[in-house]
Amino acid sequence: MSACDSALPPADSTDAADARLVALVAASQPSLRAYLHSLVRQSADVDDCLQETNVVLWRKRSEYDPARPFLAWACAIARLQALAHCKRVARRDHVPFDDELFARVAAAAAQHVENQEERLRALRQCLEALPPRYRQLVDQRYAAGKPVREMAHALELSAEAVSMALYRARKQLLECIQLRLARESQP
Amino acid sequence: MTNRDDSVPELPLGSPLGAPRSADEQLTGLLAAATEGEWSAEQSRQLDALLTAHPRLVEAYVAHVALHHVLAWELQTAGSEPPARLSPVAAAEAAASRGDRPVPSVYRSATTLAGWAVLAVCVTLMAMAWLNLPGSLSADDDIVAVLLESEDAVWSGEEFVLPFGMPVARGQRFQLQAGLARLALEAGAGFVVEGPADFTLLDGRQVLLQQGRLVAHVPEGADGFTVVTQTAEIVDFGTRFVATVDDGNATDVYVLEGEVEARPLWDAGRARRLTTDEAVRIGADDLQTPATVVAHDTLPEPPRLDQLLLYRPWDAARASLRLAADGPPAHTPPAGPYTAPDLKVNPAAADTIAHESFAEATTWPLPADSGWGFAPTAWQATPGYVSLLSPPRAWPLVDGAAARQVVALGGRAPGDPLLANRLSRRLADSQSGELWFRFFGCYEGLDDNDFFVLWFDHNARFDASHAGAPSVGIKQGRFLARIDKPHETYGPAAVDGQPFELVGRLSKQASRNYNRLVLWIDPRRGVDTPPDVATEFEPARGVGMITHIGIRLGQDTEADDRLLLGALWLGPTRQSLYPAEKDIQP
Repeated sequence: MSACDSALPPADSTDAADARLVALVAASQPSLRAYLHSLVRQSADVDDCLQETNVVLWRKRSEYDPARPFLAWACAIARLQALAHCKRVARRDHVPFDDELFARVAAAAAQHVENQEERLRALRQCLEALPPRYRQLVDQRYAAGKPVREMAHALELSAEAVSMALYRARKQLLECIQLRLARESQP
Repeated sequence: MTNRDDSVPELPLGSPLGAPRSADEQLTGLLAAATEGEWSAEQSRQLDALLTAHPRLVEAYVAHVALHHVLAWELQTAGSEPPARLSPVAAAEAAASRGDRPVPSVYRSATTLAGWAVLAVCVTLMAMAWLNLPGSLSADDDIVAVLLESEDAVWSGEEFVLPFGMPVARGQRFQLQAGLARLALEAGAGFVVEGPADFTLLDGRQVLLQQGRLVAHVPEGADGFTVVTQTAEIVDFGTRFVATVDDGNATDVYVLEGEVEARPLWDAGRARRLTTDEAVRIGADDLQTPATVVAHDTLPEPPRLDQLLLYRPWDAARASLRLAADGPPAHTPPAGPYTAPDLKVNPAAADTIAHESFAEATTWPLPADSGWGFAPTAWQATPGYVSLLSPPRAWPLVDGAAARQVVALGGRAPGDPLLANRLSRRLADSQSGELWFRFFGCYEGLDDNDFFVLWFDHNARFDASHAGAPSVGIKQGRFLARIDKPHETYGPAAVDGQPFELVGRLSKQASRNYNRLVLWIDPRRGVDTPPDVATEFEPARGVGMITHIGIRLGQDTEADDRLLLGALWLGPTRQSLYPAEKDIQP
C-alpha cells in the first residue's frame, strides 16, 4: 500500500471530506472502468490506468469542488492517464498516435458516463423485456460470472458462437435502451 | 489507439454474400470477440481503421463497451439493494449532500460484485488516508483485524485482490468463493478461512462463520477467541482448532491442539469441553461425536506466530505490508554507457519474443520501457525485496559478454505473507504457441526447504500461488519443472551460490493448454542433448495463454536468502534465445 506523498495535514484537516472523496472514488470505479475500457481496450491496461487514475484522484483531492459532478472530474483525470498510456504504446510500436480518434472516443465515452442514470433505468426495464434465451445467457455471463468458455462447454457450442450470441443480446438491449430514452425525451 | 490509416477505403453497407463485409459487420465481429477477451494488436488496428473511416460507429462502439460494464455491475447487485437504488456514484453523492457518515455502502452490501470491486479501491484509499493522520488511530476507531494475506482468493465470484495489510472494520463481512484468506485479530488470535466461506468480523476477538472452514491459531494471551455459527459458539482456551459450517448449517469443531469449549446456541447447558484431537458436531438441535478423524495435512495453514506477533502491540495504523528491515542494499551502477542490443536488427533474433538484461537502469525500479517485448509497464516487484546488484564474481559470461547487473530477490522475513511473490511483468503480446525460455540465475543461501519458481501464467496477482501454471525453478535442493503442482519432475541438484543457466521449452501436445515442459541446465551452446528434466501432464484447468511471467519464492525461505536473476529471453524457437548465435539446432 502506498502512502500519499503529500505533506501531513494539519490537526484540523478535513478528514470527513477525505472520507467522502474516498467513498466517491470507490463508487465511481465501475463507471471509470467502462470509460477507460473504451480508450485503452486491454483489460490489464485498463487495470493499470484505473490504478493510476485513483492515485491521481487522491493526490488532487484538494482540487475537487464538491459542488460539481464528481464523475466529470474523475473522467477528465482518467482521460489523461489513458492518453499517456496510449501514447506510450504508440511510441513503443513506432506508430503515429491518432489524437483525433482518441478525442472522439473519449468524448463519446464521457457522454455515456454523464447519462448513466437514465440509461440504467432504461436498462432495467429492457432486461425484463429480453427474450428468455438471451436473458439466460446474460444472467449466466454477468450475474453468475461464468466465463464464455465455461458457458460454451455447458451449451456444447463454440466459444465464438456464445460470444456472438452475447453480442446480439447486448445489441438488443442497446436498441431497447435507445428507444426508451428517445420516448422519454419526447414532449 | 494505433496508427491512422488514411488509405482505408469507404466500405459499402449491406454487401451481398461473398462481398467485403460492411463496416457494421466488421464492428460486430470485433466487438463480439473483444468484449469477452483480450484484443490482439491486429484487432485493435482494425478497430482504429474502422472508427476513423466511419466516425458514426464510435457511438456504437462506446455504447457496447459501456453496456458490458453496466451489466456486470447491475446484475451482480440485483436483489441486494432497495428497488429504487441509484448507481453507486449517485448514491454516494446523495449521501454526501445529506451529510451522512461517509462509510462506503460496500460495507453494508458486501455481497455485491461492484461492492467488492470498489472495496478493493476504497480500503486502499482509506488506508492511504489513515497513514496520513498524525499518530495512531484512536481507541474509538472500529478497526478490529488485518488481512494478512490471501492465496488464490476469489471474492464473491471475481478474482480481484484485497491488499495485504488491509484493515478490517468491525462488522465487515466477507464472501470468499475460493482460495484462502488469513487474518490477524486485534485480540491477538489469527485464523485462516478456506473458500467457499462467508464470515464476518464481529469484533477484535469474535468471528461469525456462516459457511466454510476456519482454522484458528490462538497464541498465549489471546485466549477467549470465539467463533460463532448459526448453531454454536466455540470459545478457544488455546491454541488451535478447526470450525466448519456445512451447507446444512451444522457446525463441526475439531481441536488440533489445546482446549476449546463448544456451546450449542440452543442449549448452553450442553456445552462440551474438547481437548487435542477431540471433535463434536453441533446441529440445529442435536450434538454428536463424529466418527471420522480430520487429516491435518488437508487443513489450510493458519497464520504463523511470527505473522501474528507483527501486529503486537495492536496498532491499526501499522497495518500495512512490512518492508524489509534494512531496505535494499546500496548499489553502485557500473560505469560507462550502456547500449541495449538492437534485437530487431539481428536476423537470428528477429523473432525473439522478449528479452531483459536488467542492464539499462542505474536504480530499481527499472523504467517502464526496460527490456524488449514487454508491455509498457514496469516490472512489478515487492517493495523492499528487489534490488540491483553487480553480478558475483562467479557469474558466467552471457553470450560472450560479462553481465552488467543482476536483480536480487529477497527471501521471506518473519511476519511476511507466506506467498512470497517477488517479481512479475506482462508480455507485450500474449503467447499461446510453443514458447522457449532462457535465463541466468543463482540461489544464495540454498537449503532443502528453499524454493523458487519462474512461472508462466495468464495473470500476475501478487496473492496468487501460480501453482496451476507451468513453472521451473528449484525445490528441495533440485531443479524442477512442473506443469502444475503437484505434477512436477525433479532434475539434478542445485548448488548453493552457484550460477546456473536454464533453457526450456513449453509446448502443447494435442491440447489447448500447455502440457509439456522440458528443461536443460547449463546447456552447451550448439550442442543438442536430451533435456535434463522433462514433464508432461494434462491439467484439469491449465494455462492456454501466457500473458505474464514472474518469480515466487517459498514460504520457508530465510530473510537473508537471495535469488539472483540475470538476463532472460523468451522466443518461439531455441535459436531465438541466442541473439549472437546463428547455428543452434532447435
